Formats: sequence, C-alpha cells, structure tokens
Amino acid sequence: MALPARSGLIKLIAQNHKMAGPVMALEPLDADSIREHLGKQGTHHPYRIDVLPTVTSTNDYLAELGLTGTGCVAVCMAEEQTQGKGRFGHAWWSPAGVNLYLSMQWGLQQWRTQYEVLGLRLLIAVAQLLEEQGVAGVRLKWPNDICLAGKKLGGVLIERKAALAQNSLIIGVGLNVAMSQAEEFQETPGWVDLLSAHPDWNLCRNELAAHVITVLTRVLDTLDDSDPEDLCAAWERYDSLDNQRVEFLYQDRHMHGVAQGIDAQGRIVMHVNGEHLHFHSAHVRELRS
Amino acid sequence: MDIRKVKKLVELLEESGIAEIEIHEGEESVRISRGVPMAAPGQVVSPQVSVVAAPETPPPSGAAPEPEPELPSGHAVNSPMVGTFYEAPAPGQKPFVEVGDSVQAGDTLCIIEAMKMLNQIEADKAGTIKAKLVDNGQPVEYGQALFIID
Repeated sequence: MALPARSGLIKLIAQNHKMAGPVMALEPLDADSIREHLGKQGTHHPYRIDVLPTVTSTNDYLAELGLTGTGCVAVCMAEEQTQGKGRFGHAWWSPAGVNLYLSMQWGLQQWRTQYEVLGLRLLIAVAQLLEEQGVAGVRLKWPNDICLAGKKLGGVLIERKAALAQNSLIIGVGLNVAMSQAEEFQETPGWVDLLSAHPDWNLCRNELAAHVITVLTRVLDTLDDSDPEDLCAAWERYDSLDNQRVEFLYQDRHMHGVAQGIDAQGRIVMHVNGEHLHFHSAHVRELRS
Repeated sequence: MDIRKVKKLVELLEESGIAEIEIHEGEESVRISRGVPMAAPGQVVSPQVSVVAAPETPPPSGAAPEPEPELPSGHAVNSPMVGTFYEAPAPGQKPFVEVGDSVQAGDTLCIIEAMKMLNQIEADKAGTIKAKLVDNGQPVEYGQALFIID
C-alpha cells in the first residue's frame, strides 16, 4: 500500500484498512501540501497553518493561541480531537486520521448583523463545494449540520469572542471523510462519511482542506456585501427540513409543527397550529412517518 | 405541551381575572401571566405565553412600548445580539460567574447562542458582579442588560 507513513498513527490506520481504494483520501494532513493546493486554487491570504496529531479541540487550540491583529489568518487542523465540540455541550466524534477537523480564526474590525447568519452561509458554501466535488444529495439541517441521505456528514460551529481587542471569530468545520475506515469504527446510526456514500471518493484530505479554507475565506471576504434576501433561496435548495413535520425543543418545551425554511435573519420558521413562529435557537428533530 | 392546550389556558386566564397560572404536566411546565412584569425585560405582556419564541416581525431594538424595568445601579453589560443566554460553557457545568464574584476585564461572563453561533460575552470592566439579570436558557434581545458590574 503506497500510503506515506509519516506517523505511527497513520501507519496503524493503513494496516487496518478494510479496502485498498481510500488510500488517497487518507493521505496524512500536511501543511505544505495544503499550501500548495491553496496556491493552485488561487487563495493567497497569509495563512498560518498548524497541523497537529492530536488536540482537545481545534477551536480551543486557536482560542488559546490568541493570535489577533497579526494580519494572518490562523488555521488549525488535527488528525484527532479528544474533545471535539458539536452542538452546545455535545461531543463531536473525532477518530484519528480519517476525517477533517479544521478551525480558522478570523479577525473582525467590528461586529455586523450579517455575521449572525454567517454559519448558515458557510454551510451553504460547503454544500456547494461538496456538490462540485461530485457528492450528490447534500442537504443542510438547520442550524449547523451537513447531511447526506438523512445522516450527519459534517457541521459548522462558530465561536466568537465579543469584547475588548480580541474581536475574532473561530470557525470550526468537521467533515466525516472516511471514519468508517477507523479501527475503532462501529456503525453509528445517524452518521455517514464521504467514503461510504461514494466508495470511489479519492480527493485527498489535504486538497479537501484547502477547498474548505478557500470557501470559508471567500464567504468571510464577501459577507459585508452579501444580500440577506439571497440567503432564504440558497438555503431552500439544501434544506433537509423543508415542509417536514418536526418535533422541536425550545426553552425546555417540546412542540410539533411543520418546518418552513428560514427568514432573512436566519431564524427557522415553524408552522404551528395556523401560526408562523420564528426561532433563533431550537433543537429540531424530523418526525419520520 | 400541546400549543392548543396553551391557547385554552390563555383563554381561561382572560375569562377568569386570575393574574397568573402555572401548569405542570410530567416534566413540562408552562406559566402564563397577564400584565405582570416579568423578570426578563423586553418581553410582551398581557397575556404572556412564554412558550412562544419570537413575534413574526420582531420590533427593532428599543421599540417595545413597555417601560424599561429599573436596573440596579452600576455598569451594565449588554447583549450584542438576539439569542439564548447560557451561564455555563456546557449544560451541567459551573456557571462562568455568580453574583458576588469579582471579575477582571476580559473574563467570560456568559454565552449568547443563535443559529449555533456561540458568542462569548466578556466583562468590559473589572469589578464585582452585582446582579445577573437573565436566567440560564432564556432568550435575550439586542442591547438587553445581562449583568451589572459594580
């Protein structure tokens, strides 16, 4: 097997491959390779790219690094996260060497209302990227999941330091590339990876990472000029909950309704007993008939 | 709780002249009150159903007609956005700060979450936390006071 075994970790994974095809997809993460791909994609911000074998969470790593006002965009990627973060207070399963865990820090001059829908815009951009790479049927589940065939493929989590000079966003993206190849993998209901959905997936993780960095940069660069009205239509194209009967939890209370897209402020719209309610925050679950 | 049941309760309340009613059903509960100033400012009154999240077209900040509730004196830390107030980094964990704690400028006080963007709100002034004005998990409006630092 022609996998460049740069670390024992990756070697171990290579030896445990269940199939020979995904070798390219599992190429170890490498900052130089990512830079090369960024160059080919025409993305030329002064990035600082840290690639770590293991970390608690790539978001936390950047927060602790605390680089602000240095003029560079800090990116952290890790082969493994021991405390990956998902929904508020929930873990993001982050096995070693098989997925993409990427965080990027973005300095802000000032807070603008457009930033409130940044997460949704980033999700749409990542969905478009995956489509461009030949992944069919990508859907988005409000507010921060990327789905394939009704299962979780990835997500975005944004953290913002609000005050003082440290006015910056930390954007975390998790994408399940090939976790079905991880040694400790057990079929997890509700989760999916690119490789099991597309067995011929051969985009290496370094190139995928460069694409994700390019997409995040483009969305952030153009956010100030973005049209709020575009958001709803762009979201609708990928909305996995559109016109679905859902159960949702808001302020510790359960309700049932029909999801009807989002409004220009990014809030989910629920049709409940003849009324349209708009929520900026809720846990939503599709009811399967 | 079924929204129809809540509507029924609102109707009952209006007919009865009772000021406030609180119903518990298993683990769920709902409190409906009318014309009674609630702890969280910026909410609509009379009759108030705390189940409902936000009006269809939210009024611009500060447009709410009800009088501003009086805040304790001191330096107010306001919410920079509409969202949900969280006092701790994750459910079940210790709050970032309690009333009586002394804080330095830059210390994290809470998180405001909307659309899964977690906004860490920091103290912009050193001092003692004199008041926490919002309960964990409650919605907050733009510009709403969250803490008073003295």
